[in-house]
Amino acid sequence: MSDSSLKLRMMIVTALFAAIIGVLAQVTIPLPLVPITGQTLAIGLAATILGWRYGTLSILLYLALGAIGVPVFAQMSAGVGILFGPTGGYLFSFIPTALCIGLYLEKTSFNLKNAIIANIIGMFISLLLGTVWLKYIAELSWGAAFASGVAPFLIVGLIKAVLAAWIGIMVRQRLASANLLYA
Amino acid sequence: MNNSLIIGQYVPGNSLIHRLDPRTKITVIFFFVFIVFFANNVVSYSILTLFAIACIVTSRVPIRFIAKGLTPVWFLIIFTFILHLIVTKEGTVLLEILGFKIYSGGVIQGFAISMRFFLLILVTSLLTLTTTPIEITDAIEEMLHPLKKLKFPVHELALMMSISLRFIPTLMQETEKISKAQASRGVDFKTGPIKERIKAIVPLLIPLFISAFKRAEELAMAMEARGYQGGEGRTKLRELKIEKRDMLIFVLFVFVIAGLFYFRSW
Repeated sequence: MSDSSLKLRMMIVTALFAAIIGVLAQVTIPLPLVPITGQTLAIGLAATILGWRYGTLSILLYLALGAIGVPVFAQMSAGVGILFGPTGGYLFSFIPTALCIGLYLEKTSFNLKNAIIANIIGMFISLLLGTVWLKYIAELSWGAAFASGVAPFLIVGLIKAVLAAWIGIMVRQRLASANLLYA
Repeated sequence: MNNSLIIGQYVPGNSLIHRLDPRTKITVIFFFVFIVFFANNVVSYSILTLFAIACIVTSRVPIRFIAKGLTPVWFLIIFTFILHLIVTKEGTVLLEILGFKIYSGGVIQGFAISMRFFLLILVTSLLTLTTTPIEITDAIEEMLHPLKKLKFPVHELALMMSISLRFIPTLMQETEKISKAQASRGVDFKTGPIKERIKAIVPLLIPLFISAFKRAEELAMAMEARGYQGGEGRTKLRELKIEKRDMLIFVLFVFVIAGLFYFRSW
């Protein structure tokens, strides 16, 4: 396959991943206490499947879609107001999260163990940046910000990280066997 | 639900604001967001508020849609107001509650900052209320065009945005279809032990992601068969055009800016 048609395919895949993140952000799996939301799971999956370059690009597209008014953020919300609101830090943190997950996997190799490590690192980056943002926007104390921004999501976050790694690697294997993996 | 995803927050209409070139709207809003921070007295805030109200009235967007756009930020507006009420200690003491002194300076400061937030959200949400996402994408592509010389992939980004927009409803249906297909095979997302519920996500997600790659292959082939070779020399289905009404808005907006800088206290 030539360079330009390879690039075209990756561009389309990236665009579709941005759309998938938007769709999965509306899906929640009810669990006791904190539900699993599809959004962070989809972010981890995008980075694990696509790698840092196209993974990060799909996140940027996703945020841009939300910014121009397509209701792709959680609970069908959208707009610049959400991006710069109290929870906007979590949305922006997806960019470095995807970057780190993708880079870690590309520097090592795409296997289950590395994917789990990468996704757990990603989860911590996301929670950390989101909480710092929440603290400053809502002017909370560090303790209050930690209690409302990190603690409730820690265990579910770990489950999600493992799930994203597991599914991501599985998708990559299937794509490779179907000769569809160009990333 | 699918319908609201394609058009976003767009409220269909044929008002002057709806018919403006999206580039005009984006430019005006960009500068509005910037100049809001220069307002610092009653007259300058009034000028901006009047401009915002005039835009809303001409757009004929029902108030409930505008109020809906404000819901996520009410908290922030009220919060900053109260914060300034407590923190600012200027002017005369208006009243004293439980040892807290509320100063007139605090009320004014709090009101001004809340007003600033309010105006920002009001005007920016007017863009997405009167412009479809695809129009905004076209406008952004046109406006970023000069960046092409710096090798910034403007056309490619706009193409990806359009593809995402086009496929969100399709993928939504597909997710629904896959989850129904899996449910008919006995997969249960809603009840049962946690471990089983988590496991049930796997057969939902894998087909979704794999099909994205298949779809990309098909779409890429279809595009190449029609001679797609990137942005160079490509013509457009929707042409943007600056009309008289756009010039009118620009002139009006220049007066607003001039008025603001004339009446603000230096």
